[in-house]
Amino acid sequence: MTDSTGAGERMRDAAAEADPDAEVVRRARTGDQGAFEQLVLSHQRRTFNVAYRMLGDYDEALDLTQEVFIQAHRNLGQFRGEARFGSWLLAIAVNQCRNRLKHWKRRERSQHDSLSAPVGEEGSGLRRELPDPGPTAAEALEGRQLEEFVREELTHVDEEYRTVLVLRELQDVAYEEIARILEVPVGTVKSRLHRGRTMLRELVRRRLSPHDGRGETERS
Amino acid sequence: MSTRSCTHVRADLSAYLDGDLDSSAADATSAHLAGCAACRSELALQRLALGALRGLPDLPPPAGILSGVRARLHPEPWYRRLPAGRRWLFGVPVGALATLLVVVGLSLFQARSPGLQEMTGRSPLPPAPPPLARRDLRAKGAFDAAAPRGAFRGGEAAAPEPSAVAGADKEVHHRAAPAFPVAANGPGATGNAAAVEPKAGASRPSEPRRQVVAKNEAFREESGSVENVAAAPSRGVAPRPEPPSERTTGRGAGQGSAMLAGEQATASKGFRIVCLLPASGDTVDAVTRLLVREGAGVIAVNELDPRAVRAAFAPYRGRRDLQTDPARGWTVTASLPPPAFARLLTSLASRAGLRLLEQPAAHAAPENPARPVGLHITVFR
Repeated sequence: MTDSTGAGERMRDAAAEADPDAEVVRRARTGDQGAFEQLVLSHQRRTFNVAYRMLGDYDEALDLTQEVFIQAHRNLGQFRGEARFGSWLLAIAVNQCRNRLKHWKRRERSQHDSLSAPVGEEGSGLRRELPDPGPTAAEALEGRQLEEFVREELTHVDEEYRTVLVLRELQDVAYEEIARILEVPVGTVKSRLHRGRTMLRELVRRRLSPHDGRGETERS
Repeated sequence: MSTRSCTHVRADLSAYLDGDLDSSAADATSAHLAGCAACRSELALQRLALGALRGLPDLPPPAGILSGVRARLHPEPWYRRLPAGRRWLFGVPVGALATLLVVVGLSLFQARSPGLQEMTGRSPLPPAPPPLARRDLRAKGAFDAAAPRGAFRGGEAAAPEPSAVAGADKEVHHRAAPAFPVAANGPGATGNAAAVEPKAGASRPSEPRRQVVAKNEAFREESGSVENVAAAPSRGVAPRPEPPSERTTGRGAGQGSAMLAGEQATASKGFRIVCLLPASGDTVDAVTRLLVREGAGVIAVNELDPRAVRAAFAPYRGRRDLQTDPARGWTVTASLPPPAFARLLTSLASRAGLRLLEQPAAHAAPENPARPVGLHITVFR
């Protein structure tokens, strides 16, 4: 019993030592406002980008990022240092994104979007106006245009797969850390990642060839 | 080596790229790809999509994150949020109060010092001071013709003022806190139900006025929430004993909302009604309902959750006729056609946890559904 407790403490200590924010977090927990603001500055970029890629809306991402830090500030006393502060913050961000997306779904946000989105933006007539791209459409596309398609279609990937895509492919978070953030096994993370990539590929293909089941035909 | 179908191969392309397939599955996939051009092109597309995804840039964080967090953790008092050029306005009520105290003190002193009174030969009580401040807001159209002026006052709804039903661009003396209320006509006026009726001997209200009174009567009956609302701690809703004409404007329960709402209202288009809503959700309901019923409205919503308002307006983001001004709290000026107005109100109400008593769409400018409706909402954090 003593051994296991000691091992647990050693693990926590190791985690705290490995956490570059450990000292700043300790000061913030004592009420040092400057230390907390330092944490905000250190992590705002990643938090904002995760929120933006998850929500697909700049202003909502800004609002959510602030909300994440406010929640972190309130719950700083509960942060035990067993994981990195950055991972803890990402977990808060992911949960907030999940809640907001659920809220939007309940409110049928997509219907509002379709009413207000300016012509030519995502979900409007652009897709219908695209010509059938032909057999090598994906390769013929300008890199930037394909990136644009991917950026837009990412928001249509199911939320649980999108989360893993954003954390792994865009933020380069390790599988193990994603598993801790999402509280699922590493195998589940990988499986969701593959499903997410496949779904994204399907969406992009449909975007390239709206009238065709597949975007490309046989090539030599 | 087992053969694999195209469906299986395509489902495993991502794992194949990562080397996550076991050796037999990987070999089978390789063999299939070697003989299937369609699946090879799928693999190419997977690579391209993945490359494009990984190429998405990290956006620089918006500048306001830290300041926003700071503001939400330690909100400033409302008077500090006033624009720098208007902070002197804070001194007006303070100065007025100080003057009042001095006058009252002198009066008491005179009343208790007959000798002094005889010496000065004055009446013990000075004449009542003039109103401390007034704010004239321009309103036209629906505000004058349709909205019940009495409805926007505490207890004195009965006698319509001639100027209230005249044409456009009338000068309307808008008074902050007490004025509310539509609530006074609606639920908030309770206990004062008689106040919304024309008093005996008072001049008969004009036809539109009578219609509104009748509508509000019907509203009170069907809502059945009159007493509840009256009992609710809705600051600024309860009618005060003194008549509205002797109330002062400015920073009562509205805390500056009247001023800002009025100023912004001049910039909005269409019909306008200016009112301030205290915290009571039922009051918001009543006002919303009345505004929608009359087909127009300018609303200054006070003490709603800014996040709820932000979320309600999110679908309208990007419209050129709808601006927000976060520096002044949440100020939105819009000119929306009635259907959009109705959607906005519904969304706002639902996100703020309020219940609309009726669907606004059914009442939006019934005589001309295409008529733009001016909408103004101010929310102070």
